[in-house]
Amino acid sequence: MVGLNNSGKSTIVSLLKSDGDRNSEIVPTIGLNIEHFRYQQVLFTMFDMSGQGKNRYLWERYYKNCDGIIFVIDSSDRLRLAVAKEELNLLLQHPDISGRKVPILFLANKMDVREALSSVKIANAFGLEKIKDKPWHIFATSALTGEGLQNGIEWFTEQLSQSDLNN
Amino acid sequence: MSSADRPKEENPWIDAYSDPKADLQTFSTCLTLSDLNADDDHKLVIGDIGNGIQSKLKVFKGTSLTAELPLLTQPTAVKCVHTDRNEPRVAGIIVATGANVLVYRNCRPYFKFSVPPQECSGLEVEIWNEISTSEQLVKVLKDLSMEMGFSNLSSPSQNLLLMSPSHREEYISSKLHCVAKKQMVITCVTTLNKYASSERDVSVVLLATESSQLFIMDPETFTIINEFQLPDVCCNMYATGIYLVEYTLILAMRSGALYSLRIKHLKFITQLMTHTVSLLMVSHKIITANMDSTMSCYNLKGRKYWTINLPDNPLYMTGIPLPNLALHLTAVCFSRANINLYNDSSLVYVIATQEPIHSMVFGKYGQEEHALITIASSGTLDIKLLKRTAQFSNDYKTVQKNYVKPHEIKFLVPKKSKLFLEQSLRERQKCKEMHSWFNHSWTNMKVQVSESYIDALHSANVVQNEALRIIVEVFGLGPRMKIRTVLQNMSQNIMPMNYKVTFIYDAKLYKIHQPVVKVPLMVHGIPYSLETLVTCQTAVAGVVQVVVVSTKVILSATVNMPDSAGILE
Ligand SMILES: Nc1nc2c(ncn2[C@@H]2O[C@H](COP(=O)(O)OP(=O)(O)OP(=O)(O)O)[C@@H](O)[C@H]2O)c(=O)[nH]1
Ligand SMILES: [Mg+2]
Repeated sequence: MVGLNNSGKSTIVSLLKSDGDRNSEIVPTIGLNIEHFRYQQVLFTMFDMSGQGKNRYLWERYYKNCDGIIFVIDSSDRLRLAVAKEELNLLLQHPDISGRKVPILFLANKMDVREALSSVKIANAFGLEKIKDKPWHIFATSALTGEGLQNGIEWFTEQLSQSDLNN
Repeated sequence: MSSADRPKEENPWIDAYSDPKADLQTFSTCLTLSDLNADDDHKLVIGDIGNGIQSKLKVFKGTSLTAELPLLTQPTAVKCVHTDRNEPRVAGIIVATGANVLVYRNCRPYFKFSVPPQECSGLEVEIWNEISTSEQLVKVLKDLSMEMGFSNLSSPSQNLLLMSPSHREEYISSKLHCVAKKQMVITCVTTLNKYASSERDVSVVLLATESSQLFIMDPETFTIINEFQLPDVCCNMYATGIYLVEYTLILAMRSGALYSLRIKHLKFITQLMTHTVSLLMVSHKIITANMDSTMSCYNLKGRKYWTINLPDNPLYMTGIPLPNLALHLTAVCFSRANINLYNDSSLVYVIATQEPIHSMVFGKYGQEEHALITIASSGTLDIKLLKRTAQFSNDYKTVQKNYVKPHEIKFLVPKKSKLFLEQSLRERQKCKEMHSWFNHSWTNMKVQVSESYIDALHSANVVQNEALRIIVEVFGLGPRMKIRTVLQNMSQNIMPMNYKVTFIYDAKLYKIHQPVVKVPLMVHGIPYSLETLVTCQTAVAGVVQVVVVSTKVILSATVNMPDSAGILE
């Protein structure tokens, strides 16, 4: 799971985990957090990466062994949309990703915020339609209310099990 | 593709946002970034001059304007400081305008602080108290201004002298009460951390005034905690360090002098040949961007490290600290267009812009660490964010063709010829003789020059001087004759004084009765005739040269004397 800092990655992970071991307080992640949880028969090992500029170089180290990528975008942070796009381009061009058919789930998070951009606008701004060799989907979510998360993760689970069958 | 093998030419900046309709007009001194609300989301604070009609204080969050407050007067500087150490660490906005420092917190007026006015000379107070007619008052004040300098007069006196005569009467009757105080005008403002180097620490505010003072104001109590009298008006300053521990303040004076202030000790650094536009300190080195399109670097002792030519007149310079790249760049924006980034003296990148950038600021903005925010001449707000993968290298290929780095300028040194070697050998062996020969030739040349000068004086009959006309007449046939010299001042502007007429002649032939004739003050256009008697000594006709002199020869004329041979016999 990648995305700029403050986009809501850790908040989303804590929602996905069963209620019992939810992290009570969410602080900016340092380095990365490794979270294990089960969601509808699928056992996830989630690498919740830190999104701070000085830590983003760590992302690419985990590209090789990942089965899918969740890219979280703060849709209310219009200023850094271009930065997120830049990071996505770096990700797509990375040799450990570019040739592989890894599914990418885009979460346009913080849709509850008033100035948030719609998922369609973000997809356009990012030029997502140009991604032809990988399955992808974008969902507007809110980690505060949990809205949209269900659909997103269901699509993701489906993609992961499909690619598992193919192998 | 990893970051190392990316092409160097790649733009290290992400153009995150640009708003051509922002219509912002401001100076870099009125542009600042700060975590105003203590929510880790840095805001942009702008003192917008608004076409000079209505100044406003504007706060931007991300890409949108979130607060706007009217300002009654035009701001000189806008800074953000923490005024206390209470949690949450909400920052205050400081607006310097005229003699006042307005403090805002949570976008509401919070405090108004005024720089104390200066007492004026008792003489001036007396003048104001005793003289009531406007004409007389203006006259006496004018004399006083000549005596002690206009800038040392109190503000009412200055206003009175500058206003049109018709308004004076009214002004005097309304202003009679508050004379003798000179309002301060703040010229520049900077901030300095008080206790620790943390970004969230309380900062003291340094205020320089038009009356050559420097005040240090503590925002915790809004009092002046230190005051310095400077040798001149400070128009630019830069502060580093911690006020209560150790700090260095660099002051650029209006005369072009640089001073440093370290632990209350003011020290002269150097005198620049030109005026500084902007001032920075990067790792103990002072960098100045100057009005003669150069950028120079000095140490604190005034030793110059380098000067480079800038492609254009600089408007502002700001530091771009990039600790993760171990770099501290300097960004300079120019009066025509573009922003150049320098690492020390080498150009590392040119940000091409369509129009001149009038103000810029670099720092944390929103969630981003490295944001460069610029405002162009048309009022366009532009936000650039530094890429995570950005690299700057000193061998940046410049687009300007004739840019040569100073250490790359090659001198055309010819090869050492045989002749040169022989000559240098001889110079070493016979240095004494060569030196004395040189001196000999030098003196010789000086003698020759003097001789030809004297020659020239004698041989030149009329030294061209348009302002003076000379007519010489000789009356009589001898042995007694009279020479009349008529001088006329043709110049309207010059009144020649202390001129004398004298004569160069052969004493064997003539005796001149009054060899030096004083010339009175000559009024324009009127001919003055000066006469003297001459007696011939022998029966030979000769010449007499009439010379007009002051401290040097002004004019000369030669007269052929009549042949008096027959008469003498
Ligand atoms: N309004 C709103 N706030 C959210 C949402 N999701 C997360 N946040 C808030 O955003 C802030 C950052 O969330 P984090 O989960 O720490 O973000 P992160 O992506 O893990 O950040 P790093 O670990 O620094 O990379 C927190 O204060 C969250 O409460 C959302 O959907 N809506
Ligand atoms: Mg996190």
